[in-house]
Order: sequence, then structure tokens, then C-alpha cells
Amino acid sequence: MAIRFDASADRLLRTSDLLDYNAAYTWMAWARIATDTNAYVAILTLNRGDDTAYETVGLNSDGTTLALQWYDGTNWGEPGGTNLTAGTWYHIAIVRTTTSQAYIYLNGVQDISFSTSIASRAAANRMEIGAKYTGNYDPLNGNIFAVKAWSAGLTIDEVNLERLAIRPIRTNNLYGFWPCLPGATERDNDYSGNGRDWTQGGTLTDEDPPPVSWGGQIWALPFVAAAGGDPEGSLIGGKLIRGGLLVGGVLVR
Amino acid sequence: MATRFVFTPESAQFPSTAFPQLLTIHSTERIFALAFDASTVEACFWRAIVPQGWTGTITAVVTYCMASATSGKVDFEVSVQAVTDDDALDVDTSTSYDTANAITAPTVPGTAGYIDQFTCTLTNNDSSAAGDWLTIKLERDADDGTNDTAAGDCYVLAVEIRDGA
Repeated sequence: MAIRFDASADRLLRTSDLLDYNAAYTWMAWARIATDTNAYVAILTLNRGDDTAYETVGLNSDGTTLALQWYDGTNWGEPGGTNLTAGTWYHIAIVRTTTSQAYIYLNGVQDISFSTSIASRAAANRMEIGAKYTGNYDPLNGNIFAVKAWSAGLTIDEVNLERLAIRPIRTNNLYGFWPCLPGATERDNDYSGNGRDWTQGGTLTDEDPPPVSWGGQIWALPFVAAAGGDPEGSLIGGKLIRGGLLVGGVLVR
Repeated sequence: MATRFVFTPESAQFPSTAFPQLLTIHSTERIFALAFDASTVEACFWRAIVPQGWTGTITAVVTYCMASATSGKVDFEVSVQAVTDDDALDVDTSTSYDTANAITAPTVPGTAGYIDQFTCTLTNNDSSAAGDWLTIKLERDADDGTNDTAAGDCYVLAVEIRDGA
């Protein structure tokens, strides 16, 4: 299930041990606009609780244009990219590689490149999904699913691998991953082992997700036991092997 | 008979629409399950290579439990697509499943959460042979008002594929 945000107080929030938005990081999720609010929307945001400094993957004032909204305390901007369609699932990723380079990827394709330095920006104290600041600004009316984050800048090839599975493919520098599976005590859980669960705000609910696999492996059993467990030998790989089977499963000839 | 594959919810793949939800059951064990809806026909797939020595009768054994139902039946069908080297099938635009294999719809356990298993003989297995690129599709016939009468989600926990070895 995907998490539904449909009220201004709805959000997922962390206020400590955050990603450093002034260093290399990657943050991604599947997102869908349910209703075009025709206003600014914050999807993934790191900020200081107000508009003194922030970095937000969101939608611009038309409610549909994907944008990287940023402010370093002095300068600000909101470079825009693709105009999104309500009701459609998109994979969105922000990758910051240095203090002067960040990208937004849309479905694995670079959509925005941002190369202004933010080196002097004050540290964030809120990491949020679905709205921003203590005043519940720019709420999302839509869904989020399969959120993942790293304290490193992934390559575009890595972003494309990651968008096809709920679980993380890359485990180096994994900050957290939140499958957003359904349930009041499930949807905010960090499955990475790092204990970075979200705090839920408002009243979140669960809706149908995009068709993304967990990314598990199929179990294929390569050996076929001889019929009746013939003590005279076993058929392995088409060849008859004679010997004794030890308790631990080792065949001794 | 021999077990050849074990398909788990975590390895399931999904069509663009009408698919079971991947979720966890049990608040602390977090057991992955595929939740097949009671009113909408939903399907998922697993893909593999048919192993060497593939022989005899092919069967699928599905392990499930019900989310809430304690009466009624659930009905599923299993379809097979086996693509051989040089087959004339454009796999990035088309599919070529054999006729779906039906089951005798089981009556669900009298207690929700108790597991049950049903077997589907894959008589129609698209002439699968060793080395074929194999797709197994599992679909709940939620719109079969006679054979699928249990209310609520059916949680599929695993699918075991056996051959006749």
C-alpha cells in the first residue's frame, strides 16, 4: 500500500539525525498527485522549520511542475522541470553530489540540474514528506511509496536500479528505507536497521501502490533427490553418485 | 515429485494494473504476503529458467491464509508461458500464455490466519522444457460468484513449483 496525504497536517517527519543537505545525499520515492491543488507542494524536504533555509523536491505554484525549491539564507530559486499529471505514479529522486551540484531525476531520467553553491547554508532541522515547516506549508494531496535515502550521491545508473525495487540495491551509505507498507505501525518503519523511523503527522491512510516489486530472489532448487532416497547412491546433476550421506548433508564417497 | 522453485511474495512481479498488494502480516514477525482482493481479479507473476531434468507432471502448490474470512471458497488459476530459444514471440510487446489451469476451489479454514494449501496441476504448461524462459502467473478469480465466495483478502504466502522427478 502507498501512504495517502490529504490534509495539511499529514506528513512524515524526522527532527534529529537527518540527512545533511549540504553534503552528498540521495533521497527518492514513488509519488503520485491525487488532486492538483494548483499551489506549491512539498514532496521531499529538508528545512529549518521555516523559510530561512530549505531544499525541497516539490511542485511549483501551478501544482504540477516538478521543481527543486531551494534557499540558502540569502539566495533562493525554484528551477522547474516536467509538468506532472495527476493520477500518474512517478519515481522522483534528488541527488546532491557536491555543495554546488544537485539533480532531480524523474523516472530515472535527469529532469533538473542545479549548480548554484549552497555551501554556507545553515543545517536542516526537519526532514519531511508531504508538507513542510511547523506551519504545515505546501501540503501534498497524493501518495508516497517506497522511500529510500543514502548519505551519498548515487549515479544515474544506480538511481535506475533503485527505482525498480522497493528494497535498496545499494547498501553502502544507506541512511534508511521505508517501504511504506500498510498499517498504522507499519507505514513509518525504517527497514534499514538504522532505526530512523518517521513520526506520523495528521491522519495518514493507505491506498494502492504502484506495481513495484520488493526485489526478492526466486528460490531455484538445483538438485533432485533420487526416488526413495536410494542408499546405493543419489542422482545429482544427472549423474549417479554412490556414497554415504553424513548428518550434515555431506556426500562422502 | 521434486520441488523445483519456491516463489515468495518478495520475488513477485506485477502488471501495470490489477495486482495483489504486497504487505506484511503479523505485527512483530512482519511476514510478507500478497493480498488478493475479494472483488477485483488480480494477478502477479514469477519468472525463471526451466531447470535441467524438468520432467513429468508439473504442479503448483499455493500456501495461503485468509485475512478475515472463515467460510466460503477461494478460486485461483495458474497460467504458464514458456518461451524457447528462437521462438517467434516479441517479449517486450506480447505474451503467449497457455490456457489457464483451474483448481478445485478449496473451502477456506474456519479460523482466519490458519494456513491452507491447494494444488494446481499445470496440465497446460505451454510445452515447457529445460532451458525455457518461464513465467508463472497466479490469478484470483474474484469475479467467479460460484467458486470464489470467501470475503476479504486472500494472503498468498508462497508458491511451490514441483515436477515429476
